[in-house]
Amino acid sequence: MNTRSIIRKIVIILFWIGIWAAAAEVMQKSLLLPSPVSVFVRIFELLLIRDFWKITLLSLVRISLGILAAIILGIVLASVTHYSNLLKELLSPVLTVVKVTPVASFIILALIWIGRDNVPIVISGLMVLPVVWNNVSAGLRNIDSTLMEMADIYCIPRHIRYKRIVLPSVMPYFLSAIQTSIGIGWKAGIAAEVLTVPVLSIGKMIYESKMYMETTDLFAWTLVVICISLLIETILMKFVKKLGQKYNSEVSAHD
Amino acid sequence: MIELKNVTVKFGSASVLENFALTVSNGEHTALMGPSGSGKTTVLKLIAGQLKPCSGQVKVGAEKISYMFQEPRLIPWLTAEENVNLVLGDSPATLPLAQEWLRRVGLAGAEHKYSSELSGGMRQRVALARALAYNGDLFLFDEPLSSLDKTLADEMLVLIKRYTKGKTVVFVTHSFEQAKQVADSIYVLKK
Repeated sequence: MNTRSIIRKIVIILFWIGIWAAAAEVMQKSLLLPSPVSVFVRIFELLLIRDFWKITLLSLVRISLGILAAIILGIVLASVTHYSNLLKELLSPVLTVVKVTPVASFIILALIWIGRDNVPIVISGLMVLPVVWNNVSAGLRNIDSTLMEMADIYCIPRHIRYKRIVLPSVMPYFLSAIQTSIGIGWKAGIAAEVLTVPVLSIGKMIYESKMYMETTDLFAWTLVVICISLLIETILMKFVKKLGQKYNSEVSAHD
Repeated sequence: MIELKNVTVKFGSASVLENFALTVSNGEHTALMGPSGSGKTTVLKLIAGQLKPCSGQVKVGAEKISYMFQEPRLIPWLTAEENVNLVLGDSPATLPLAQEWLRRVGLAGAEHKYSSELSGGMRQRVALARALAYNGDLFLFDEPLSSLDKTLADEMLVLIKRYTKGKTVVFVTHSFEQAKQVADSIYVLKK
């Protein structure tokens, strides 16, 4: 990104903050719409509190755990259902159910079954699982069969086949799943925290600010969620780009 | 030794081979000719074990088969040298040998190119280098020189003859000239 585009982005952000400030000025009701200055001051205050870092880190760890578990499970399920028709038929209704069930129903059920502290882990994982499962399955289905035939003829060992044919074929699908699902997983995890209020969580802070009508706090915590979301996306894009370059030029083309 | 006896292959209701017989002795070079759709590639697939006949017997006495397919079947995200090196064990230690094979087929300087950066003829020569580098007991060539001009095709034919000496070869071609140069016996398949 060059200086010109950075300046452009800053100006755009300032423009929208300006609109927000003007709207707050016109309304004159901080309970409905606090001014950007008061929100930024509140964020600054939060940054100085030790619990802020603890809360943010715990939410991040909790949700990341769910996402990571879903990625691993998604890859495993896609692999076993690819190689076993019986398992595919057996497990495909599970995928359908996960895809079509409203997230709120899952939150309530998880709350009853596993207790509030683990709900965000499960919910963020449930958002990521079908996407990874679906995409990796599609990647496995689309492996060029003529290349696999060639590998059979030349007796290419299994581990080289995986490294040179299977992995690079599946990688674009997997990376695309990661790109689309992690943001959703993060936001669903926060939503689950709001509904289940685990101790020391961003969701609980958002819930409490709503309870006590602390709109400034609500905005501040929401901004924190947005900033973390953007941070995750930036790191993820770098990771995806790097992996794409490592495996093949085709991956970069798919990006 | 290759022996096909009373082989019938059908795709749906269409019969591609009917009571087909072929015998190739060890070390013999055989060419298969015939019009498109006469079943030449099908015969190679039967020998390679990629296809099972509807009826009849297929016996192939070879452990290691070098098969040059009709299309190059190069892995698009690997370079030319990596494609060749794949059949040599995919190790850095064998990379110089892969490069040497590319040099032999006239592709020195193209080692680091991906298949999308190569012409059809170059891709075919990478596939040839891969088949020769693998050094099977049995060589199956499916129109291996179809994308090459005459001079280059002649050069590659010399190379094929040199590196398959003493090995069993089944060579599919439309060119009688090539069949004559390469083979001890020529089979002509009819539709």
